[in-house]
Amino acid sequence: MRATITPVFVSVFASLWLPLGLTAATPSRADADPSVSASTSASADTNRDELWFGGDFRALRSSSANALTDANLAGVSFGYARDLGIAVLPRLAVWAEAGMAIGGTTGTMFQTLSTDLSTIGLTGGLRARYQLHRLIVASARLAFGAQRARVAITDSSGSSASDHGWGSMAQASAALDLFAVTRPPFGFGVRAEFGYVAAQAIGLTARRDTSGDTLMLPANEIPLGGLDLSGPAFTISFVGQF
Amino acid sequence: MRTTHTACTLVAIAVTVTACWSDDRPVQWQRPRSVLGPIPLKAHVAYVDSALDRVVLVDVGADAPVISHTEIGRRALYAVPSSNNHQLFVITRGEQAIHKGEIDQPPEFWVVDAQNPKAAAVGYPIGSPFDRVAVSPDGKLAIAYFSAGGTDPDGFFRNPNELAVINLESPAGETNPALVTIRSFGSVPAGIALSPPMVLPHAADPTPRTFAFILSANNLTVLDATHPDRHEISIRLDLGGAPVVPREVVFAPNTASAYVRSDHARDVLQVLLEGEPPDPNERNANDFRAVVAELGAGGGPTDIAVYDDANGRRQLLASTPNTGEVVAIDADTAQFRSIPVADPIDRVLVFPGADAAPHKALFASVGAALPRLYVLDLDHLDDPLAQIKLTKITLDKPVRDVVAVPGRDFAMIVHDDARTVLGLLDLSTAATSPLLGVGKLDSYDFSPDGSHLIGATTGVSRVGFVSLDNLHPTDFRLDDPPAHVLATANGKIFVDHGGPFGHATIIPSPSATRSDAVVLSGFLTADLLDEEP
Repeated sequence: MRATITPVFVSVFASLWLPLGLTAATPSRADADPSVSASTSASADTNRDELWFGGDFRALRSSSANALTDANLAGVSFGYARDLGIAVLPRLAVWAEAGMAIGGTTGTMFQTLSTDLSTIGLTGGLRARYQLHRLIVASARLAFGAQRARVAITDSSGSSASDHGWGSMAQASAALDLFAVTRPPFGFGVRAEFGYVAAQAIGLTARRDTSGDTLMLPANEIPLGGLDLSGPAFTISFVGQF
Repeated sequence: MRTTHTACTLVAIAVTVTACWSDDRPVQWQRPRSVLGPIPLKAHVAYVDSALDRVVLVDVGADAPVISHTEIGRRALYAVPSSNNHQLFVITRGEQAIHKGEIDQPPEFWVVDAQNPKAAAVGYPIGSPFDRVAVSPDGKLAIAYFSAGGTDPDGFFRNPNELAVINLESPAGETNPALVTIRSFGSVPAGIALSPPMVLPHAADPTPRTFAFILSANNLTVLDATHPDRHEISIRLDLGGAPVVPREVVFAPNTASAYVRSDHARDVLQVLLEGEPPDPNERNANDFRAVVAELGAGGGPTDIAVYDDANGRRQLLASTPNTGEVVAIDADTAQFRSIPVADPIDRVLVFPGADAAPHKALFASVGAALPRLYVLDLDHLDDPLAQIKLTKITLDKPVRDVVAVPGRDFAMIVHDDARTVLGLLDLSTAATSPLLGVGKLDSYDFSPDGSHLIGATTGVSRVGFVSLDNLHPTDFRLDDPPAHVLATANGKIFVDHGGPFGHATIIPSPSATRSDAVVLSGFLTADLLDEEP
């Protein structure tokens, strides 16, 4: 069953606007009362914005993903995060973030069919960061969003069929940040993050790739089924804070 | 500080474990795949997928096709439809659990009921990896056997004379199938023909039973397939010269007899089965004997045709080039009439070829590619006072092949090896009409009522029709080149375009327009992603 527009729209909307909305509701550093900031942030003398960029890997081991490939999903991810200034516990900060992941993989079915799988994921969520050490931060992240998956299957003669679809997704993960520099105005480090992506099965139908302006009969296309891209995920990324 | 170290350690371990995540993909997706089909059934077209271990049935009975699939065993080898086209019989090789994900599964014979596609296929373990099957005309018995080449190098010993006799009316059990080995005189079975139910004269058991005629070089074996535990009868055919290879068996169930045509034989062989008390001292003794007679063909028949005349009597036509004649034999009485003809006739067809009693026979010399045909009027064949003679039809081009149009008095004549120059012979008027194609006629069929010839050429995105009433040709533009064209029993034209996904155009009738047609795509990969290994 193809994902309906409503959850996809909500997911995309949430992934894009949740961090920005929360950020807008957070007092800026220039306006903040130092006493409030000291009580709600892990440290007033820290960077409160973050950009990250890195490699993203996801183990695809659902039965539907196994049908297409024995490889894992690999790609890049990048995003932006901002400290919300909420201090629940000492050394604990809550950040809002929005990210994007682009991945892909290839495979072979029945020794003769080549498969190509590509994904784009948009997520927004919250990250709770705990300062273990001046240069080491542990964090937990919960994010929601949507992902687009495209599948192409090509036979040995070169004819191919493909389709794409959207589905909602959620990700829970834990990370360890190792910083080289943390002091303002700029800090940077490396983040290793593991977690699990729960994804809605995306209904796909192998549509033949045709070209030209020849009038064709409408085809009655039989669905391939639902593609479930859930699986354990690992991300290694460079983090820059300012 | 201790908390910090513990947290760091836990996170590091978790990250490492995630990075090393790996497990195995089910072997199902890595096996080689072959697709058997399309196989026309009554209102379905069937495909057998050897990798996904399923039979895909495309129901073309309704306006919108319906796809269903039925699970079978691993590694399908061979599939045949039942004589009434309601069932599909499949042999699967099975599997040995050598690699992870593989399972131990024996070779099995499967019955797929196309009329009830939601029902599970019925499997019969057949013990050996047979790769051929013969099914009785009434669909109650099947015999699995090895082809001359065998199947594959798996296994240790192979007994090429072993058969599995399957009673399709009973579930699988210790005695079903029954594994039997027939006597061999150095040859192996090349084919098996199962008779309609026959009652043996003079037999104590009056119930109809099915007999298997097992064809091998220089040998014909008759097995009571209804009682496979009983001994078979072997009939030696060799004459001391070139090996006599039985090719064709036709049955006359009213007289419990069969007629066998063999290469390098002197005559058509009549095998008459009759009851005989079994030997009380012999365990598993049979209760019949085979009376063998050489019918009066006399010159080594090259082709035979059998039909039931208007009186219900079974008649046999044989061509014997060595004696320069064709022979008409009353199968019930063995009386025969000879008609002289100089040409080396090797193709005999009767018209109309469907259930109705035929009244014309056509004789052709395909091997010699002679530009002549002969027509015999069958209506007065049994009249001893009637003068029987052949009507000669002279053509402009040599005859390479002749095909009967079902249910009609027409024959399609192929004039060249590439099947580009065709002719249509109207037997009622003895008139021929040439048909020119744009290319080789790679695939063709006739509509079930015999009203149209349907043809396709690989690489040309069209299906051609010829109305056999007035020989008016039309064609239907396809979106893609055809690989195979067939007409289903309900009159629809199924054009298979090939490919691993399943792609076909279904045309409701020869007169349909493009707007009436349905293009079906992806039926071989239907629900592929929802398949659980």
